[in-house]
Amino acid sequence: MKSSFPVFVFFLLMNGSQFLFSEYNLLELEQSLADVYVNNISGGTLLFYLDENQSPLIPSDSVFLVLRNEVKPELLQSITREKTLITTQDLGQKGISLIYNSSTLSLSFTLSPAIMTSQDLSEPIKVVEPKNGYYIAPNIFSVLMGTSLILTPAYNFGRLNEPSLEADLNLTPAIRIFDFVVEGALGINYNTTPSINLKSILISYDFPTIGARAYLGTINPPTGIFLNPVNLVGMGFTNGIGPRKRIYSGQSLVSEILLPRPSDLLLEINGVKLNNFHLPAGSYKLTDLPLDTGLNNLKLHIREAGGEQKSLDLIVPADGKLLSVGETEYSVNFGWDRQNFTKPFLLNKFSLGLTPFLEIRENASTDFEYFSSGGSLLWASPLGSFGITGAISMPYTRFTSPGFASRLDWQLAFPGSPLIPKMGLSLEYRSQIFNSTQDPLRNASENFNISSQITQALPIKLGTLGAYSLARFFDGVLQSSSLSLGIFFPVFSLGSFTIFGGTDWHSNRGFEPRLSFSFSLVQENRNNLLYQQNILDKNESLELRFPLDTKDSVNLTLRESGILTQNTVSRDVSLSGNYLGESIILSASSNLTQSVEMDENQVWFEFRAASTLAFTGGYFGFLNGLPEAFVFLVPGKNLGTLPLVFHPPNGQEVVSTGGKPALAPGFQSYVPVYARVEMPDSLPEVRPFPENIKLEPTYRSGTVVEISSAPVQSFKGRLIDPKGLMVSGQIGKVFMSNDLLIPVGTTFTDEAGIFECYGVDFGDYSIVWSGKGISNFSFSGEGLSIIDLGDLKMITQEIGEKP
Amino acid sequence: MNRFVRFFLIAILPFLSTSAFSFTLQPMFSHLDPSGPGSIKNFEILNEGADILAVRLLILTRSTGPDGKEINKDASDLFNIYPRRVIVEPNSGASVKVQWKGSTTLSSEQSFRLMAENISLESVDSDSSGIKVMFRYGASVYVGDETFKEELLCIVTGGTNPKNDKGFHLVITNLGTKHVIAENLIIFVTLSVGNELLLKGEELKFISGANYLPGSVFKIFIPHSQAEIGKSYVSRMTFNSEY
Repeated sequence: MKSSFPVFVFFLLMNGSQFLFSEYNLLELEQSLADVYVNNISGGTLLFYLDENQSPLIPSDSVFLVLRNEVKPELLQSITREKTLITTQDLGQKGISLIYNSSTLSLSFTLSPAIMTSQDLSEPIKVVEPKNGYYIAPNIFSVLMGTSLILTPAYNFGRLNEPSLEADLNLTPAIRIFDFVVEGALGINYNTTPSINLKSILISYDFPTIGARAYLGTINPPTGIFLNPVNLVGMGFTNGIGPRKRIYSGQSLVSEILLPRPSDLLLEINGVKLNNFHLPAGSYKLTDLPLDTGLNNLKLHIREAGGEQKSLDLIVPADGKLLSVGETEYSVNFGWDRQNFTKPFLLNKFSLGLTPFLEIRENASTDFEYFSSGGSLLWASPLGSFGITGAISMPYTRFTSPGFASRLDWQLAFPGSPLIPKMGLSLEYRSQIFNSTQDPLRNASENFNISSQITQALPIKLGTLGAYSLARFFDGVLQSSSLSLGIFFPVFSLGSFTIFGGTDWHSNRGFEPRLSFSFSLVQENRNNLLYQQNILDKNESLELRFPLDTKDSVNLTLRESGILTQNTVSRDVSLSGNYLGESIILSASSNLTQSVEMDENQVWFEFRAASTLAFTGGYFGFLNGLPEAFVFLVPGKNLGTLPLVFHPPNGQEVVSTGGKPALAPGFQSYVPVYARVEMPDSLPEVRPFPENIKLEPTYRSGTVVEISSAPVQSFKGRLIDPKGLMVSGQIGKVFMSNDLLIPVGTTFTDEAGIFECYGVDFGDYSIVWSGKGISNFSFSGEGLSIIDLGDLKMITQEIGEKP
Repeated sequence: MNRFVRFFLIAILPFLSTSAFSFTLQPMFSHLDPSGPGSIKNFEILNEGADILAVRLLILTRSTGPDGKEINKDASDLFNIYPRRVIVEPNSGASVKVQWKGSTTLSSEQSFRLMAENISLESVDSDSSGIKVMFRYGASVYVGDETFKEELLCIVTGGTNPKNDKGFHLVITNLGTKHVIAENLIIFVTLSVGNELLLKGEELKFISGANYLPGSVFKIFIPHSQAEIGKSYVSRMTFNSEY
């Protein structure tokens, strides 16, 4: 199975749709080029297989759109080849595990349905904006230091009979000073000898008003159509920072839902009710909700507290989000290849939303040998989504020939029409694979691929049926083809069962049938059991997961997989435990690998600890991941040990107890945060100041929010006019007499002319009433009781009137 | 409702200022302990409208008459509400704390209404038009401890109503120390040995789902041809308890 080619898996991760490929050298394995198949398309479990073929297919359906939002390229690139079990920190927190099995060339993504219907609404989504919020800016200096330590002792039995120890220390510092951010990644490895690897270093400067970032250092710019990624040392400029303003496209014009009451939202995908989550009252943009479910039929059931249930059909064409009209995304990058520092590269990318349902994209790149350019058009039409892509490659030298590539994609879905299946068709033509810094051998001949897929949600919630076909032509000759059929069906609300089979045909090997089934048991929205059996080639795998607490921060996982063929007998068994704490992630696993063919048995252990140090304004704390921004909640001395509760809109309530600072993680840069501070155990009149907070985190920034106690005095009175008549319905702004610029409070008069004002100090005051009058008074007293001013006269003064 | 009044309301509805409906009080149900940290609860007023909002908060006792109608009286001496009046800017919120300052030893659960009422303000914008409808929320506030339990008793007797129709007089009393909302109420009336009559659904629509406060008594007459005037019936009841 080994060859000299690296494995490339074609993922759709970088700000693009499935029509624009970014290729990631995932594992740098010495194995042949690979394709990705998706054999399970509706929630629960997703399995991706790698095979030996040489062209990308469009991975279909839901989860890719989910992954596109959830998985960052650097996470994928952090996957290492040595271990069968790969669970990155960030993925693990989101309920995703990646399992790569080198012996079967299989890569498994295991998602809990909760991923598609995330219960953790980590995005700030509450739209209610306090206008009287107290604005707090991020500190000018902050440090984030991500650290992970992995220890792997092992022992080989049989052929080698020797112990080994490997240790990896990964440091990912990010320092923000004023508006500059320096971040990097450093790996220190000890195997038989120590080694240090500077993985990346980058200096960036943001322009928040235009959503742009300039950067200098090691960069991995987004590449063009069919162009392999390039690792450069250079500089670039992009507007891809902060939240995107893409609209929720499709036939449904609903872009926002208003919940006047707290509501439960239930997501139904392909007729299967998957999960629900709770939202407080407010207005929510659909783009902020975790609704990306690809081509699956999505129905949103909304049940308000004490109200009736409403349902909303949402239509999600292949690319769920397009740029809004006039909005652009662009980047330009220049640098030299990082390996040899000999080849200069210039790359650019540009996307523009033309209409709510139409987007165009362009990219171009050049070096000393080639100029390549491509363009594409995405149209979310009533007949599904269309993507047309074309690319050319023009050489500067006469030793190589021009290249041409094109691609046509069509995805059709009629959500709410149970009788019409979802269909997809892809045509791809390449006359030449373009040049690459990493794969100079890819420069030959013509390839033509055609693939299609059909999925149909079965009636009465019986499940989903899928068919998939593929044919590949090389220089006009059919090289391989594949036909697959699968059925996925839920087993009540317990789990899902999948049968997947088909046949492959290769020109040099003939027909190779495949058949497998898998069962996934879902309990309380978590995958607890996953079993897969390949019937024909006797491969099987089993995974059992035992959550040990209700929040799932501690769990045990047992995995077993085996291959039994005529030539190979191998088996892998692992038992791992994870702890996801607020400030640290710990995991330990024991593994046993048996290979009869190689006369080798290996037992190895892995211990992993990861945490991030956050520092700003003299305060520090630890987080369980490297965030974009963080906040320290610092109680003032006059609060004593009263607990403070910080309510950011992301729902991650943070509590400060005993007068100690508390660290609030998980803020997205350039997304305004409107948070409320509460003192739950204090007397009603003892209130925090500020009570409403507004801040806009910048990238890798830290903010210190200092909370003190608001004044506790109050006054009341009855407003009368100069004739002594009661004045009702007035709004009054309360000023201290020595500062008539900033009001210290507001009040109003009711139908009896009574007004009350809370949370002010004793002193001299002026109230400016909405009826163009003013009242002056002073108040003093003792204790906390409200001071009664009696009748307070409003002095009216017409404009121009002399006093 | 009078047909004319209903027509009038429908007719003027489009002209009403919507701002009056655009604030919320949360939570709508709250339970306070007689003492300790649990004797203080936070309420949120959210103004989701475009106009500035003036809200006054009142706390009222809550009891029910035999017809189920709620009876309220001022209870401000039993609570500390802070602040009692708030100005809420558009798209903003305000929090209000409510503290029980009554007896720390209660023999049964105490029921109250926290009223948040929108106060009419002089229109600053002279161009604004439409009838201003003031709106008030009444959140349920209960004070008690976890040992309190509800106990519903149903007494059924045969009789007639003022129209001289035969039927059953039902008297439902909460003899317990805690309120209960009796959802899906079904009353089984034993007419004779082995002959049980089920009263449910539409027949009980006025009392099924009602909130039975401690000590409250509901009386209802259900016309029924099988009722015998003056007879006391053995009965039992089932319902889903909500609090």
